[in-house]
This record gives sequence, C-alpha cells and structure tokens, in this order.
Amino acid sequence: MSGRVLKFEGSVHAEADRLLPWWVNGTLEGDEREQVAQHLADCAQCQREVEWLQTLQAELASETTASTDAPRAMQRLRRRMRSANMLAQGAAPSATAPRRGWGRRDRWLAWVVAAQAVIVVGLGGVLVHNHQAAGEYRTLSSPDSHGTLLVVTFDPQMTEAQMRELVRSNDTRIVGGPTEAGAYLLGVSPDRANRVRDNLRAAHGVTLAERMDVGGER
Amino acid sequence: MRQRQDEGRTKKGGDDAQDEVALLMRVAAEEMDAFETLYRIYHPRLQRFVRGMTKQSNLAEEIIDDTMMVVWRKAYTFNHTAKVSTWIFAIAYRQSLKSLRGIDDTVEFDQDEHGGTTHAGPDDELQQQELRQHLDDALNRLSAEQRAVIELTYYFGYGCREIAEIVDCPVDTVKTRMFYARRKLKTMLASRREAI
Repeated sequence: MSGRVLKFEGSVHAEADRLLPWWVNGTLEGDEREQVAQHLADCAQCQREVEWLQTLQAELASETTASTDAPRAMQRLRRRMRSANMLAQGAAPSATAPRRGWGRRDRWLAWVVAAQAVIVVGLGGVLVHNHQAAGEYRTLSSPDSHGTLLVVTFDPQMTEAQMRELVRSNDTRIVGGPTEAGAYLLGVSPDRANRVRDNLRAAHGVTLAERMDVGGER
Repeated sequence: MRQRQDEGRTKKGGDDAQDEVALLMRVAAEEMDAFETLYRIYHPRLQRFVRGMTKQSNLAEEIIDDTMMVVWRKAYTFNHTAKVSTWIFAIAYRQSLKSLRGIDDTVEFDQDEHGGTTHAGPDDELQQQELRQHLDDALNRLSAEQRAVIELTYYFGYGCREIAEIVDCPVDTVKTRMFYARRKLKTMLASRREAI
C-alpha cells in the first residue's frame, strides 16, 4: 500500500489540489471525494489552500448584484422580440394565443404542408412502383387507408428503438417521413386520433403532435 | 452563501427541476406566460453570471436578452438528459463569449460598476472593502472563460462535470482552467498586499 502511495505521491497531491475548489463547494462525489479527504488529512499545504478557497468563496457569494427591475426588463425583451419578428405586433404580456410571425399554428400549418408534400411524393412513388412491385409502397399511398394522419416530430436525442416503442404502444404506424425537417406521419383510426395525439404530446421525447385533418382542433 | 443557496441549482429539489422542464416544454409550445415565468426565475441568476463573467455591466442586459431569445427559439431542442439550468447557462456562456468577441475580446475594468471611490468607515469595514476591491481587480485580469468557471463553482455551486457541460469542454480542461485562475488570483492578491 505504501509503495502505491509513495509511487503516486506527487500526482495524488496535484490531483487533489486540482479538485479542492469542488471539495470546498461540496460537489465532489465518490472516489474523488474519498481521494481528497484522505489527502487533506495529511497535507498541510492543501489544508491552507482550502482555507483560502473558503475565504474566496465567501467573498464571492457575499457580493451583491444590483438587480434590474425584472418586469421592465421583460418589457424591453418583448419589444426586441417583436422587432425581430419573433412576436406578433401588439401581443399582450401573457397572451396565450400564438402571436409571433411563425407561431404555433403557423408551424402546424407548415408541418401539414410538409406532410402533404410527403404524401404527394409517396403517391408519385406508388404510381411508379405499382408497375414493378404492386403493393410494396401501399402504406405510403393513401391517407384514407390509414384513417387519420398525425404529424409528429421527435426529440433528436430519441433513439430509434424508443421511437418504435412509442409508435407501437399507441397502436399506430409510421406511414410517412421523416421529412427533411424531421417530421413523421402516423396513421391512426379516426375514433382514436385525439387520444393518440394527446398521448404523444404527453410522451417524453415528442416535440410536436398534430392532426392533419382538423385545422383548428388542438 | 444564502444567496447562493437561493439562486443556485443544486439546492433546488427534484420537483423544482421537473417544474422547470415542464415550464420549458410550455415555452417550446410558445406560451408567453411560461416564458415570462422562466425569465423571472433566471433573470437574477443570469445577471449575476453574465456580469461576473464579462465584467461588462453595460452589456449584461443585452446578453441576457440574447440568451432568453435563444431559449425561446430553441426550447424545442432541449435535451431531456440535461438540466434546464445547465442548458440555459450554456447558452448564456456562449452569448457572453460572442458578445465579448464582438468588442475585440478586451475586457476592461469597469470603474462605475465597482464604485471607483472608497467610502470611509470603521477599520474592519474598510479592510473588507479593500479586500473586495483587490479581488475585483484580480478577477478583472482573468480571462472571461476563467471567470465563468470561478462564478459557476463558487457562486452557483456547480460540480466540475456540470461546468464542463456548460462551457462545452472536457472536465480536465475545467480543472486546469480553474487551477490557473486560482494561481493567478493568489499571486495578484499577494502582490497587492505586499504593495500596501
């Protein structure tokens, strides 16, 4: 044991020393914490360093920052967002309705347009492929055969397996996509469309879920 | 310390963290009231962080606005494996660096922010003010990246791994950056004391 300690004495000190700031702020865990605790018990230099770092921390933490009036700052930010066309003109402070130029509804419409483009491409593909392999692309051919269509986007971090599981657990099927913007079309029976849409919205990793057939319905 | 606990991230309970995720998801759905709530929660923390990092109080509000505008635009890209606070601080860090680069990366001492004049008072108070002033001067001579690590560690109480996420570099780089920052601060404070 002593051989190991002696052999690494220099680096043990250096490594413990590098970790001292996080020993002082109490965020060290596991082996690192153990390593520093053991080293500190024997190293007077590090003990002095800890004292100095504690003074530094206390000094920084006691520093007060003149706080700006947050509501006024929010007003200013809202003005900037409006002038950058991120908000519609005259938006009320807590308006829940979409109000920026590219608002939620607009974005939804964009997905619908994108999804329709997918369908058009899909239909084109089917026309071509019907001559060669009938039925091969049937799932992409007709929205009617899938009941109601949902436009869905997923968190980019989501794995394919998670996505598949989510689609399967909701008893729906991917019938189109991904589009260039990453949207998928899911087919679902009309009587379950709203429930599946709501489930997807509530699911972890789903960033958008909308019906394609009912413009105003949320 | 009290302020750090109030404003810091690790002291917040899991429920608060979940609330913040829910809030950010509502921001992703472009709900302005959720955005305003998030802004109110983060404004004091961002103000402290951005001022501490840039030492440019005149730029701070603009950087905070830039940060929150990115939050508004990019909320839907939030990676659920990260904490909301880590994600927002990472944006603030990048916006601060961007803003500093825009002014040639020269970080000058801001006389107004630090008062400039020393008020008379009892000896210990005066001593405290001097220490404060020396520390401010020393911090001003560090790089913005070094100050960010110092602020995130000593004021906000972040661990080195979370800091690495915020500043988007390896953990060892954070440790090294902090090591040199400490050494520089110590040397500068010691030389100031000798000079007096």
